[in-house]
Amino acid sequence: MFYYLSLAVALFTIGVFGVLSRKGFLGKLVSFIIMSNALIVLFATFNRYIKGDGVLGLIFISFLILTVLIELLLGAYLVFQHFSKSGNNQDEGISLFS
Amino acid sequence: MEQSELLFNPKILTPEALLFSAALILTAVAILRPKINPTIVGYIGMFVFATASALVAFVPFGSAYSDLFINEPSAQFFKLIFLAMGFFSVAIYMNENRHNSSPNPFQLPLLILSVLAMMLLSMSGNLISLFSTLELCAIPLIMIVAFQNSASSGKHAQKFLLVMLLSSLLILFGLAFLFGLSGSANLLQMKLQIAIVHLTQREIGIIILLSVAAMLSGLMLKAALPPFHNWGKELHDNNPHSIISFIAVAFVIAVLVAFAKLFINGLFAFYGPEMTPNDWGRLVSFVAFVAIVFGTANIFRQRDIVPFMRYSNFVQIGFIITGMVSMNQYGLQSAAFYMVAFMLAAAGIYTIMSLLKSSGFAQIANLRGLYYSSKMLSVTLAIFLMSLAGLPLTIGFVAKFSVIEAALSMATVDKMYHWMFILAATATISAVVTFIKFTKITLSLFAKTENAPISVKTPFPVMIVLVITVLATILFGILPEPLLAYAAKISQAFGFMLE
Repeated sequence: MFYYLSLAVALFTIGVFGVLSRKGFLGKLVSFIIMSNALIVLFATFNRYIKGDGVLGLIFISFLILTVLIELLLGAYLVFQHFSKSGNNQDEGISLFS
Repeated sequence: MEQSELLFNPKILTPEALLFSAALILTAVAILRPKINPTIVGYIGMFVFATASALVAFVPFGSAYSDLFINEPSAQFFKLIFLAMGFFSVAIYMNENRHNSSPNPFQLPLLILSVLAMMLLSMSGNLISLFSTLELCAIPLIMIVAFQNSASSGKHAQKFLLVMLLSSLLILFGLAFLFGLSGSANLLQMKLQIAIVHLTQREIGIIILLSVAAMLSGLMLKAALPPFHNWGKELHDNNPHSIISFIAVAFVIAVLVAFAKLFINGLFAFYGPEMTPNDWGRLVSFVAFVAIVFGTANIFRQRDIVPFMRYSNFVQIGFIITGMVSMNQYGLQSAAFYMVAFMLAAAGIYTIMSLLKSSGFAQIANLRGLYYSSKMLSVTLAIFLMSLAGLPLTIGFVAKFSVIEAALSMATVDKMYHWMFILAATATISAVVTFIKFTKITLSLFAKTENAPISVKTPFPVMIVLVITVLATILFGILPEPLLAYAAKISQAFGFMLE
């Protein structure tokens, strides 16, 4: 269990680092996918070791995938909208904290 | 509430079903007739929110779908706040689009969907429904921002989306550890299981601290609280008042409701210095302290109305968190009461700001002498400003007084809680200092000037909003007992017994 948790925390940290360091919108979205994968590992681990054959962790995972998928689709729409509005196909930088 | 009353009852979702149907119909209308008059659609929206509010007052208490959603007095209280804010935002939307030939036709159905998600959030009794509804509150708002007719709307929506994604994943990271510790997703069972784990296994290291830090930073990011406040600046400066008022008030209150469910309910056992290093009480108190100090220090530097309100909101949110972190029977009661006071004053001010903006006002200095051109508008604005300042006989005074009283009563419980004195003192000093600024603006409304602002005509929907908010601000300022008694039910719902 310890190894799986370490893997999840490491993946999540890499994702957070990616979100903070990548400048482009798409780069940040990819980092979010890494963070989501970390959460899937985390919930699957807890489901396996805490709940035994329970399905609660899997329900969490399905909801996580669903919500992240909706937001990624929305993100894809926003990228398309931005490119078609500006006519510029460069992924310009977005700073989250300024 | 008795456990026997919490029976399975799908009727409890009647107001939500109404909102969902209305959102579907209005979306179909927006697709088939995108140029439809926004005033007609707006009146339909106001009618839907008013009807849903009446239904909320009459639907029975109970639970639905294996306790995923529980309708109890606290949920009813928050649902009425969200519906009222939806109603006010529709009126502002109608005012903004009076002379607009191409308004955003999807704004209203998306707004209704966001209110629907907030109502479900206030009823959620499970970590899964809590997380999903918190996400669903934000998605329609991101879409509203994206559909605006400005060149930079896509850029603002991208930033909004990224912040919401980051905050959601941080919250979920914290939730995962709570799920791992308790083995349950039900909030009530989680509260009990975590308390048992705490009593039986003292050595749980810093797991709770890690979980608290992730969830708290996620919630602060969502609510744009300092030091994560900068992402909200562009959003506030470049969007219509109908959107920013809704995000600044309803969305922030939704985040605070999620905070209450996760921390006050779920992590009840880890409050207080004796729980060090896993104590979340002082951490959250520090967040409230920073919000109050930062907001108070910055409102004096603002010249434009929108940033002024943004910094003023930090102070109000800081007060609400102060009430919440006072973990006694008065704490949540005062926080809920403060939410109503904040909602009424902020909705009123944003409505007036939308009126003034259409007449070319953007700066606080432009308000000078408003009384001589628009008497009714200036008096109502003065009432809202004085309510935010905490003048007696307004709801703001009772709200500020009850929050500070709750913080002081918590501080005197034990030596260990003396840090609450600092928070109570900060809140008191902030109340005095902000009173000066709000009074200065209020007096300038009545000051004689050679260049008096031009007269502003008040449309009917805006008149409705102003009458409701002014009456409620004064009525609950003079007679606060019924609302305080109603707010006390929230303390009971979270397990605080009234004396």
